[in-house]
Amino acid sequence: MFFQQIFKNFNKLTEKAAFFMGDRYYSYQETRNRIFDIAQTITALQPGSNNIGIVTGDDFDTYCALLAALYLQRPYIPVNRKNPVRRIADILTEAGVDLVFCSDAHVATELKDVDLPGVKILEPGMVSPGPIQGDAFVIKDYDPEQLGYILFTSGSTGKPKGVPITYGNMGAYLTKMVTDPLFEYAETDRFIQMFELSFDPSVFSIMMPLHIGATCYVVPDSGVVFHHIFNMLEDHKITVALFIPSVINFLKPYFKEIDLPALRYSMFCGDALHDSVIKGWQLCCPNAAIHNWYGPTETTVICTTYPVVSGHDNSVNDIISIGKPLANVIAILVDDDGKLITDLNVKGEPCFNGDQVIKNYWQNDAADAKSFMLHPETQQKFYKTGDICFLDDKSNYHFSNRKDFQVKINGYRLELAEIEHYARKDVNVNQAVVVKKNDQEMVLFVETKDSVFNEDDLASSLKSYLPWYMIPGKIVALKQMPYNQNMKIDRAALLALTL
Amino acid sequence: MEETEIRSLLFEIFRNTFDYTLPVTDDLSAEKVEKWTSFTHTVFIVEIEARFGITLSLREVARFRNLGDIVIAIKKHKE
Repeated sequence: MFFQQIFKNFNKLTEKAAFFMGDRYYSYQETRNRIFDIAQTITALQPGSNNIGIVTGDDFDTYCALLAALYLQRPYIPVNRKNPVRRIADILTEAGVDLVFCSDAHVATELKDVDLPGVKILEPGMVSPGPIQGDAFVIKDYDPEQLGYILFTSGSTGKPKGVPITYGNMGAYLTKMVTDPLFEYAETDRFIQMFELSFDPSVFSIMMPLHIGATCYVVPDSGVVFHHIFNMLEDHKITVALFIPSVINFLKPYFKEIDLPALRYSMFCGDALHDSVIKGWQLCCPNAAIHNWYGPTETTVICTTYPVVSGHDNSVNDIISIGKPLANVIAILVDDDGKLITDLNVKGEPCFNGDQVIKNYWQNDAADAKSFMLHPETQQKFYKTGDICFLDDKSNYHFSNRKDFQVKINGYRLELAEIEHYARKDVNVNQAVVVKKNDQEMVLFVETKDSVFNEDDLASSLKSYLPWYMIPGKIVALKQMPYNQNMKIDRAALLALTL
Repeated sequence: MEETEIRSLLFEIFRNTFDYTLPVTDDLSAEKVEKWTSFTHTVFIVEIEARFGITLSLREVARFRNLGDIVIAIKKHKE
């Protein structure tokens, strides 16, 4: 199985670099020793098989703690250290952890002041070299039904919602990724890891290089992260990169300066990927195969993939297709009544079933009832994504919007992406997002660097493309779009600006 | 443009962009300022370019370690 190969590599590769982080390399052997020490300390402090919390960080010890949990076969719960301490504590309590690893001294001190009964806080200074340091890892079987990690996302009620991913889910996804003939990864590859550990694309960026015996380059997570990413791509001649589209939106004004011939694979996930931006990006990394990936956390990182082929436009409203489901995922489209949609180009909610897909949330019956359905014919359980997609005549899916963002204004059902697309046609507009304020009004936010940007000119331009009911009542120019902790455009923050 | 003049204007832009009320020094870096992120950095650079009438390259802005580095880069452009 997938994870066994990772631990075999730690036993075998010794001098090879497993990680680069904080200006230095860490060999597979050095990493193995630290994982061993942390694993032994965890077991000494809290024996058993309970869940382990990990307060996320960009340091070697945090990554080793995560791998120690995987080695011990204890589920880990990564929690973003930049969250307020009360939220961190709520998630740890909700997840039922009895030990939390925290490399951030400030957060650890704060956590000690919060009431967390029965939870031990493990800091790096408490880890001591164990009696069997240097020995090889014992290669164990992984039970596909056992939990690997739980990620908590914000729930609609304000209570964090846990997504429990089993070793079976992780193994299905990662094995598919490593065996896909479109990707020929090698031990000589240099992967970049730019995601916060509570954001699941990090699972790909960490586990994949370790599985194939390559090196994982970890981007520092504070300061101007996008600059750290660019410097790392260039300085270390990164060959495999999974990005969030906001990174290349940020780099777009500088595309003419960027030359990354070493990059072999450039994947994107987490947000809409725009064809107009990718056309420029392709010139920056002429040797890279570009893929657009899509998937909610509930389907284990991603569940559909689309290979972007230069010159073959497959975008709608400038948004590139999300492609076809992975081999071990079954996808269906359903209408508002849960009936199957089989016609092409008809919008519906994509729902997924398969080895990568969760069957329930973590101890949350209300969320289960809302987010799962039985297939009308086979009675198999499907996860409802809450997204809106349609299928084209080449069996590729296209993402339209979140179901929550569907807008019907003055009786007309609108496609916000279409308005955003025409707004982006303005050369001074870097990004455009439409937010529904209420049933009668919508507001268009545009990101522009033009200090004399004229909203009226943009409104006139939109009127030449779109019918009257699609013209936003208000246009707001921002120098910078707000982004959330996962580097996605923060629509909730934009909505707050309209109120 | 003199270096002291550059520093004074840069620090003023910095304070306004990040609502920074503590003392500003050359060694201040993004890692030490909570509001100085990838996203606010763009606003900062746009403002620097507009006020000094210069265009900074990606290689310049991506290598800035602190405000002192930005002073040196602006000075070079103004020479």
